[in-house]
Amino acid sequence: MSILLKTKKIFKSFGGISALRGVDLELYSSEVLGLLGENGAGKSTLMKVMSGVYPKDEFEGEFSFQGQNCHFKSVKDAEALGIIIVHQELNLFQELTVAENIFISHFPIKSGMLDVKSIEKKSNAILKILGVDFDAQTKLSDLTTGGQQMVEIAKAISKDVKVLILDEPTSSLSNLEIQKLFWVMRDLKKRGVGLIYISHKLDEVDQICDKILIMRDGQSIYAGEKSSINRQELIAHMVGRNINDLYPLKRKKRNPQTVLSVKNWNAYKFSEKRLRVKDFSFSAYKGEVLGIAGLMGAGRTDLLLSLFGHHNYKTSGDIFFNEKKIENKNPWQAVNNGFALVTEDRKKNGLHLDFSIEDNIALASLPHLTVKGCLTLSHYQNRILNLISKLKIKLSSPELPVKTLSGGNQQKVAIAKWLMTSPQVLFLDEPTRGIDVGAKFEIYSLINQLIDEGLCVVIASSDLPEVVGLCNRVLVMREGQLAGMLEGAENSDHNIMNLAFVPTQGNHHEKNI
Amino acid sequence: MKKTFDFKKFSTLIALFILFIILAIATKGDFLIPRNLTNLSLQISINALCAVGMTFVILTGGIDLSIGSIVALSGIIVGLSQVNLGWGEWGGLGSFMSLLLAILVGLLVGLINGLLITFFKIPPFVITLGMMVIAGGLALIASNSSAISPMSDTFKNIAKGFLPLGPSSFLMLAISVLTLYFFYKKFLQHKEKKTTTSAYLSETVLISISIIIPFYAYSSDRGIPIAVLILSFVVLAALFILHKLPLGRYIFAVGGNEEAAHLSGINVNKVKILAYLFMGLIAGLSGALLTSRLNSAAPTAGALMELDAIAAVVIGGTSLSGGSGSIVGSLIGATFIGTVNNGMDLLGIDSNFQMVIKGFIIIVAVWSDSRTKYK
Ligand SMILES: Nc1ncnc2c1ncn2[C@@H]1O[C@H](COP(=O)(O)OP(=O)(O)OP(=O)(O)O)[C@@H](O)[C@H]1O
Ligand SMILES: [Mg+2]
Repeated sequence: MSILLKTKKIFKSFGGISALRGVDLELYSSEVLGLLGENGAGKSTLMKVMSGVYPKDEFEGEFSFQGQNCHFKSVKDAEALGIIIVHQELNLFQELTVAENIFISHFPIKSGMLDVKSIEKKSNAILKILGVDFDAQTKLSDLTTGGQQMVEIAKAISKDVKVLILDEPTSSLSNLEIQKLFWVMRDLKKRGVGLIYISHKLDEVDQICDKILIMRDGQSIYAGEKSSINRQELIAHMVGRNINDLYPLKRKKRNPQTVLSVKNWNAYKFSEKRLRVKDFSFSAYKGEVLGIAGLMGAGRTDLLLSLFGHHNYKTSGDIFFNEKKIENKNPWQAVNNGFALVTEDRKKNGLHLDFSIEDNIALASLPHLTVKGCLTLSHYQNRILNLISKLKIKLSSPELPVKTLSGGNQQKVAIAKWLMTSPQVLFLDEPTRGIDVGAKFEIYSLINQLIDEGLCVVIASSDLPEVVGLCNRVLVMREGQLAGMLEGAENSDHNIMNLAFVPTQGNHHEKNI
Repeated sequence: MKKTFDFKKFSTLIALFILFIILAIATKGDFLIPRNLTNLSLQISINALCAVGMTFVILTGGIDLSIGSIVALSGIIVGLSQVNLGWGEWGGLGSFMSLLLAILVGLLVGLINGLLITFFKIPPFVITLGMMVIAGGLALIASNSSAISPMSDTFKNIAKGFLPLGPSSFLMLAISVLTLYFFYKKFLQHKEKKTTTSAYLSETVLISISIIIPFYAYSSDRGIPIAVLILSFVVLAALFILHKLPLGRYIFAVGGNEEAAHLSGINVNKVKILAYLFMGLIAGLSGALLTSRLNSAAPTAGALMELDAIAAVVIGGTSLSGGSGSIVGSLIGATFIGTVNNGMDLLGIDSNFQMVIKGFIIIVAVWSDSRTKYK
């Protein structure tokens, strides 16, 4: 085992706000270093420093690769040494094929022309290692978010890699995909690659990491072997206090007053023929957390978006709200009906990243923030500030653009935006993706507080412990249909997975019906 | 943290002042004569109007290439109403009706643009390009390819007239008092240590100069031009819509991220249609003003006006991809372009050369703006 990366007292600040305050990190070959820390601790920033995103003059301190001091001017310099990063946010081109995306930065050229054949062949080989079910010619926009994430990983390992940095790679992957990723990681490890693995999912950290580095407020708090620290200590280091029970007590029995009831819901996208949601019926009660589980691509997001009136979907079926038939033909109708939807992909359709934090929080409730038709945000400053402190959003000023926040804090802004509308039905699509343990705990407590206030919360999540730990009832979706409903003691990982998987008959897959 | 001087925000204004100084020297002071400055503001006002409308459209992530043709078409309609319908003999009422008619024509074309763009989901570039050709053709048909003149005296007065010196002085005094009050409030903020001294001083000086120059010109010449009053009114209305109404936020939101805007419960189509309507209204109004100023309606009158408007908006710092920008920036941009034109006229530069130079200046202006932005 030889040392690959070593940083010495790295400092980095963004216009007066310091993100890194002298972190030290060491990475050896053939090991997986788990990098943990709260949202905004500076994990991504540190990784960006080491992968050349921030050139030499934009930070202070030094780091070396295999004993040589590094002075990167750009990402290219880092890649030349074999330091490859998979960023927290996807950086792909929706209109290109998988193969073109994988080789976008290192196209092989044959007699002056793009060698499409060879990139497709190479891509397919990598995709096979990753064990995905699409091929190199697929257009990227046809993939699920999980599939796209796998393409990011394929892109990274298609290069000559010595250090692989994975910044929350699994936040949109299914369990199966995660296992495949781990398999690939172990293989890289055997070949002497050093890996840095950032995640908020402690179970995964348990499975894959050899060493742990915990960061808080831009500093290293703990570094050592994984085996020498237990879960409790780990969390305590991360958040600076003890959290004993991640999932707050489930509220006992709902009062069975139906708030939302959906009958025979069908939805397909205008752009394709396939039904995304098929004959789906369910009810949600006042003061309960209803979970929607299922594999990636089972149609959970389609269900929520179509119920919310998103313009890409053609739908049929009925929605009853407090026993009254209503229509959500478009999102503004849905908002007026008391619905709210926190989307799965905040960069794509959840937030305006360039706009300020306060403008984002206010955006869905503007009609209610007026006096005589004129906007009077200053009157509502207090409500916005209350939400910011209720959700413990870590920021230096609400006037700064959302994009300056760490991933987890952006997610909280997205939730705050919808709480601002005082909804009665709250749809949450992967609400805790990329959120640290402390913040998860806060969001769970918040959800409980909301259902105590009589809200009806519907959560689509691929985080099984979350669905099991938080929800009163769970609907399991499979290929757009309701595969079953689990309640009370039946609500377990095992039962959910059993329902979620497609019963296979021989090698006949019922995929594309 | 104290606010420091926002160079990015004021860079175009500073560039404009530098241009003023260069022209003042090159023309040995002729440029700064009140009469010339007043004429300059008359020349600028129509492009500035169009730039304000274009800002709305570009903020939503769109573009409108048809405004030159709308200007021509509405101008021709005005000419027809004044000359052929005889509204020219009806004095003030006739002028008012012609003006209204021009605005209606603009609104109609804007509405059609908006509806086509939202319902057929065809890119604004294509729709408004088509509309540019259609409305241009209609202007030629309606006018039989020839200019129409003359307008009535009252109508001519709309764009050529002045508010008499008395009321002008009163109005300028009132605005000065308001500005001083604004400076005073800024000063209080400054004392609360929210801004640095240099930031406070530079902002105060820059704003003062931008007020003093036109006020000096108007008060020592013929008073405030009516066209400038109309422009000010439209600018105030635009600022009100953009910053005081939810619609304003929606315009930014649609341009910033259309999908997220849709899912925030914003009626994206409505917002876009309103933006093109506003643009149409302004183009119609500009058509009337141009006809009034030239005392003649020509079917080719609005040629290339859309390009000047787009250039003004972009020089003013509004992003062509939508979601960020400002009305005041576009005003400064329009003033910049107008000043370049005026200065080159004064210097007696051949008009064909003027085009080439102007093109270069636009490129340099936008380039340096994007440099300061991404630094
Ligand atoms: N471009 C930027 N401009 C201003 N501040 C920034 C910028 N990028 C990051 N920051 C700030 O730096 C700090 C560290 O952010 P970073 O993204 O590294 O956190 P993180 O540990 O990766 O968090 P998460 O788990 O949420 O992804 C945060 O306070 C964040 O607001
Ligand atoms: Mg991060």
